Amino acid sequence: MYIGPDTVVPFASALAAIAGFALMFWRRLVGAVRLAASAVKRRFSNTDPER
Amino acid sequence: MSRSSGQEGLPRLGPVLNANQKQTRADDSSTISHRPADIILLGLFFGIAAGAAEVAFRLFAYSVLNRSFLKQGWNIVWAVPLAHLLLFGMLGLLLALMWIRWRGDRLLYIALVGFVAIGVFAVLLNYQRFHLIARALLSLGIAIQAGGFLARHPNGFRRLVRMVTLPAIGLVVITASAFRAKDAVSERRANANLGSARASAPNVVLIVMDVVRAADVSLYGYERQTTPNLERFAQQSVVFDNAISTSPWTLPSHASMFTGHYPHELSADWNEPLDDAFPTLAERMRDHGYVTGGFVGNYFYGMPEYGLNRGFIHYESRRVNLATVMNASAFGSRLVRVFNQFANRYRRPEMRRAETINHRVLDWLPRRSTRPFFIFVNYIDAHLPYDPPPPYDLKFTLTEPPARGHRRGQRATESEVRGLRDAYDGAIAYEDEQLAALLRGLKRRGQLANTVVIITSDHGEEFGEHGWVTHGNGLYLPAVHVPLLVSYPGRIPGGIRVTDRITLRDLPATVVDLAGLGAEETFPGRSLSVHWDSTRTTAYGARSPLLLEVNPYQGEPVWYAGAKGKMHSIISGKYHYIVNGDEREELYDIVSDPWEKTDLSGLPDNRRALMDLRAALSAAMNESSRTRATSANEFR
Repeated sequence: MYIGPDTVVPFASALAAIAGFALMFWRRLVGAVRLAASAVKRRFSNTDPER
Repeated sequence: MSRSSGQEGLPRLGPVLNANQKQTRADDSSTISHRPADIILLGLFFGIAAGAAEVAFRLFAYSVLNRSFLKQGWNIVWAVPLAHLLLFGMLGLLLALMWIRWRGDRLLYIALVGFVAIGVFAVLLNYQRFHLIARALLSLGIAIQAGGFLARHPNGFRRLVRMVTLPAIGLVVITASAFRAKDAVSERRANANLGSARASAPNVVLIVMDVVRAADVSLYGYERQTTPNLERFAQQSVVFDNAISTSPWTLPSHASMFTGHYPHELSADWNEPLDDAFPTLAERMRDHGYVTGGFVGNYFYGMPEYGLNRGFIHYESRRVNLATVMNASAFGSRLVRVFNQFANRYRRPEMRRAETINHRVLDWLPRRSTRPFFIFVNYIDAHLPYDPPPPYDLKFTLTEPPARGHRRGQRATESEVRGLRDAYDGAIAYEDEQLAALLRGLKRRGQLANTVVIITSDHGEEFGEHGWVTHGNGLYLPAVHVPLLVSYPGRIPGGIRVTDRITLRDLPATVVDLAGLGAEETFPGRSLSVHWDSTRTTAYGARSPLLLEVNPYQGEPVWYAGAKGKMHSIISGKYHYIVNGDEREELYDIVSDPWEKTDLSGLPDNRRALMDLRAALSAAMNESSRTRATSANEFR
C-alpha cells in the first residue's frame, strides 16, 4: 500500500481536527466520560449478585 | 450596554471555566486593574511569543526536518518577530480602545484566547501537512485551554508580560540593526579586499528583462512599437535574432547565464537554490578586481537564498517596507495578499519597478573609481501580474481598467489573452524606456564609453499559443526565444544582425572573453564573439548545443505540457525536437512554423530527422553531464 504525504494529509488533518475539538470541549468531554464511567460502574455494581 | 463589574466572572464565554476556576481567580487579584497600556503590552507580548515560535518552527523544519532551505535566510530571526509585533500590536491597540468602554474579565478572556489562537495558527500555517480547517480547529482548541490557564493566573502572567516584552522588543530591534550593519560591513570589507584589476578592463553591464519574449519586441519585427529604444541601441550593437534561453523560467535560466552550464547540470530548481558546485560569472569578475553589484527586480527567485547573489559584493533583490516585513511571517503574508485583493492591487509589495532599480544602480555606482564594475540588472515589470505604470498601462489597449492578473493554471478566454498581452506589451514598452534611462544615466557620468552592455531576457511567455498563459511549463519557442544585444563601443561593430541560433549558456564565456580575463578564466560554452569576428571561429571550438530543459512544478494542472514530468528539447537546423515527461516526442519545423503549431513527429518522412535529433539530444545531455562531474570536482 502506498503511504506518502498526499495520503497522510487527510488522516493527519482528521486527527488534528479531532484534537482541536477535544481541546475546545475538554471539560464537557471529561464530564461526559466521567458520567459514562460512573453509569457503567453503577450498572455493574447493581447487577453483581454477590453484593 | 452595562459595564462589567469584574466580579461577575469569566464563564459566560463558554464552559471552559467552571466554578473552581472562578474561585481560583477570585483568590487572585482582579484583572480589572489592567490599564489600556497593559492591553497593548499584552498584544506585544503575544507578538513576541508568536514570532519566536514561528522562527523556532522554521529553523526546526530547516535543520531537522530538512524540508526546505531558509527562503528568506537568517533575516527571519528579526523579520518574523517584527511582523508579529506589528500585527499583535495593532490588535492590542484595538482591544485597548475596546477596554476603555467594555473593560471586564470577559473581554480580557476573549483577548487571551484570540491572541493565543492567532499565534498558534500563525505557526501552524508553516506546516502544510494539515488541512487549513484542521489547523484552525487545533489552534482554537489550544487557545481555549491556554486562555483559560492564563486567565486563572492573572498576576503571575502579568508579571511575565511586563518582565519579558520590552527587553524582547529591544532584542528584535538590535538584531535587525545588526543584520543591516553586517551587510554594510561585509560589503566594505569585500571592496577593501579586491585585487588589482587589469588596466583598461572594460565595465560590464548585463541587463535581463525578465519574461520578455522576442516575439513581442519590435526590434524583431513585432508590429507594435514596444522597443523603440532597443531599436536605436541596436545601431551600435550586435543583435542576435535567434537567441534561445536554456529554460523557460527564471532560476535555471539565470543560473546558466551565470555559470555556463545547462539546467540538468545545476542544482537550481523550483525549490532548490543554485549551489556552489560551479563558479559564477560575478565571482570571476570580482576575483579580477571588478566591483560587482546585482540589482534584481525578481523578488522571489532573485532573493539571495536562491544563490544568484554569489559573487556580488552588493546585491539587492527586494524592497524593505511595512508590507515586506509583514510578508516575512506566514500569517502576515496571507493578510497582505487578502488586503491586496481587497484593494485591487496587483503588484507585490516586494516588487521594485525598473525606475527604482535604475535609481538604486546609479546611487550605488561610484562616480569616480579606478576600478571596473560589473553590474547585473533584472527588470521584473513584464512578469505577471502585468501592471506597468501610466501611460504604459493603456499604451496598447482601450480596455479600462486594463487586464493585469492571471492565475496560474486558469484557462483564459481569447479576449482575456488579448487583454493580458496588451498589458504585457505595455510593460515591455515601459522597460524599454527605463533601459534607455539607465544607459543615459551611465553615459552622462561618462561610464558607458569603455563598457560592454548586454541586454537580454531569461525566458519568454506564452499567450495561448499552446493553450496557456505564463511560462515555466513547456519548451515551445514563445517561452524560450529571447532578445539579445551586445554592445562594446569601439570594439564591436554596430548594426550587425546575427541570424544563427545561439544559447544563453554562452554568455559567461562571452563576457570573460570581452573583458579580457584570460584564457584560463573561461566558462563552458563558446564566446559569441565568433559571430562578429570570423578570425576567432577556429580558436573558440565547437558551438554549444541548443539544449532546453524544464522540470515539473508541483501541483501544475495536467493540461500543462510540463506537468507530465521532466522535459528536454534540442534545436538543430530547422527542427525543434521535444521529449515530454511521458516520453512523447514532438517535432517542429521552426523556420516554416515558428509558433510550433504542427507536430511533424508522426510523419514517415521525418523518421530520419527524428533519429538524428534523438541522438543529438542524447549526446548533448551526456556530454554536458560529463562536464559537470569534472568541473564539480575541480572546484570543490
